[in-house]
Amino acid sequence: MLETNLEIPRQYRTEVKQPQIFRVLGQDGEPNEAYEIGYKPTEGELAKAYRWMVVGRTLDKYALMYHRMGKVRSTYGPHEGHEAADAGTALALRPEDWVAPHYRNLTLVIARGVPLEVIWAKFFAKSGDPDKGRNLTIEWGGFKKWRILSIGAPIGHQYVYAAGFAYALRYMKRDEVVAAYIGDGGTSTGGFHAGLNFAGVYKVPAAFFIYNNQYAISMPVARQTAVERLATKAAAYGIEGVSADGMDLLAVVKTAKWAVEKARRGEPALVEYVMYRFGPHTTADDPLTRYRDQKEVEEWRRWDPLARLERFLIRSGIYSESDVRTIWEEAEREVKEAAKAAEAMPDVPVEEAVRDVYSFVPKSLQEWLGEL
Amino acid sequence: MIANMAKAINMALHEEMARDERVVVLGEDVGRRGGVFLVTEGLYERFGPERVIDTPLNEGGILGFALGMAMAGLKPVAEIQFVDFIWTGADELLNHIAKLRYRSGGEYKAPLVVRAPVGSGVKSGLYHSQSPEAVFVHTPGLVVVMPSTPYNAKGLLKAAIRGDDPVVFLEPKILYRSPREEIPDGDYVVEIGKARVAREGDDVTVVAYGAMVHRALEAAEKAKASVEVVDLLTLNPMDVDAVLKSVSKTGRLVVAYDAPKTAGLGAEVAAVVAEKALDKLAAPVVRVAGPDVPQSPVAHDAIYAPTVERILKAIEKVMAY
Ligand SMILES: Cc1ncc(C[n+]2csc(CCOP(=O)(O)OP(=O)(O)O)c2C)c(N)n1
Repeated sequence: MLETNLEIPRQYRTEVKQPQIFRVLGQDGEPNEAYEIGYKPTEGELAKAYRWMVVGRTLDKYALMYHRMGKVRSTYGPHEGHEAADAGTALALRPEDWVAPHYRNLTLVIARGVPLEVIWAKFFAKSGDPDKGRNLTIEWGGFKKWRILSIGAPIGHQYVYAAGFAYALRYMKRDEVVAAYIGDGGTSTGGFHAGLNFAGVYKVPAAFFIYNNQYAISMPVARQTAVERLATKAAAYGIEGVSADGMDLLAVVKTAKWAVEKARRGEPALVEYVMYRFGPHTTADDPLTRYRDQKEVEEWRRWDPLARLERFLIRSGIYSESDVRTIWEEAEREVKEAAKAAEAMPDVPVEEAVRDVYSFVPKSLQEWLGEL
Repeated sequence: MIANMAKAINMALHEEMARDERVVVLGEDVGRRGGVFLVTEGLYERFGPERVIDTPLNEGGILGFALGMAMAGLKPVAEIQFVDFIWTGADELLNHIAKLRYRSGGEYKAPLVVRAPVGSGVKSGLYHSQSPEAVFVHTPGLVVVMPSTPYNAKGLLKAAIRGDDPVVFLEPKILYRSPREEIPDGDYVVEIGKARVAREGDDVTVVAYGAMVHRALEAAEKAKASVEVVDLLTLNPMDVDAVLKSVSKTGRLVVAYDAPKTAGLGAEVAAVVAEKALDKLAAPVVRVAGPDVPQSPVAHDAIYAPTVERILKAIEKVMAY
């Protein structure tokens, strides 16, 4: 048989370039030359972001503790390691902008201005919970006042409606942007692909963030995709993508500002934040016995977002060691006081169980309430 | 051995994979993690990554992939982590898996099993608590099974895997760890399509399935009347004869199910009895179910599913008629 050359010449083939990971802060908090690239946050902004992060980590710690004591209702999903990505992307937004969160965005929720007492009320399913005790701890259902779009547990949907919401904002001639969040596991969902596709086609004012924290429950990111960097996915939808260190506040602020302001001009963008989830997936998970070893966790610990930012702040003279101590102590006090206030709230009344199913309460539900 | 339902299902998977090389397991976290409820524990170590497949996070992908495998001759057992997440795969399940045999004039078939935890009662909120069995029952082409004890869970799953139809196998998550019961050592199957009389009685029939069987049994113990409890086990095709036989004997019917009341499976049971045995009824049928609200708010989880007290009240009501 004649030998055939099956090769198709290069010019007919697509090429994918895997981006490098944009990083500013070293482990010791010293900035590299990338410090000069893009947006430079002011001292005030840095201080604000740092505070959010400290409060975020402290709240996370107590949420786990109170969960163990049986006070936090339903499962809780730890957030440690995600603080810089949340604070940095929040800093890139204007107060009038919107966020379509992923469930693990605790610092983001704090940064949007949700009072700690309200968050605790939600964790305890008390009457101060805007969701009226209906959702899991970290599903943000009814936080509209803080411009947080409503999410449920099924992963991926937030990307699609972030795109639709952004389309509507532009239609109504509003200068607002939507920031949408998803995990690495979420990039396998139909919602992720539909969201980016629609955003690219309609050029909506939305910035898309992927939190690549290496795992979706037990599954490493290599089980979600065969590409090296998730940011390359942007190319397939005709939008631009960037990869950055998600545990480096400066890298996050610079890339998030790029994406958000680009979105405001009608050019949706995608940023992959490379990071790590230090804790288990949820309080019902035990990673160390099943799917990852302690050495790996310790390796990533060296990139801890709080320690690096703290070193940078001290190094640049914005804070002293004692300022830092005070901020941690204040956070601890605030978090505990807010928990106490929330615990004292009444439970969500049973009558609430039948409300909000429709704009009215149907007869069958009124009857059911009477039967109880 | 004495086992709980999670272990019993795990045993069925081990045994069927060992028995038949065509059986493969796929889903999110089913491999090294052993499933979030540890139902697939040990399979990965024993049968390897080619047969125990950790998939990307995409339910449509899982179900469509399984369909392709089944068409080609494998016997996939797909796990959906919680049934609440099946909807992004609904097109695959309801439009394609269910209709394959019919639309191909019997040329193709989809012998696969879709396992998923269902039900309320574990304070898991709106997206980890649903019971959508009525939707699957309403879809011709799907066999729908819901076990109630470790023994029948194991036997029914083995039958489902050996069968030639797509089976939606719904596991009440509240039953995973308890009760426990004796499981025989040797191989056995429990026939699909057959209900069981879980308790004999003469005055009232309570039809239930899944976790509600245990509450119905408890209510029966407490009731002043003599209560018969019929456990459906297979929801589609339903064992209508078993229901009619019991109702013909007792003349009274209560249906208990952990799902929104309206257009739930209880409506089907009541309608069948109304069509075929109305003359045997001494009292109107009573349904005990969840309210028509999204199942099941964290704060009010406890008041969602039928409780023993509510079933007892229904029994008293039909007795007093
Ligand atoms: C559609 C859907 N399928 C399955 C689940 C169950 N589940 C909850 S979280 C999770 C892993 C998500 O991982 P990732 O998107 O990487 O986010 P991370 O938990 O790492 O923040 C899975 C499979 C779900 N919530 N939604």
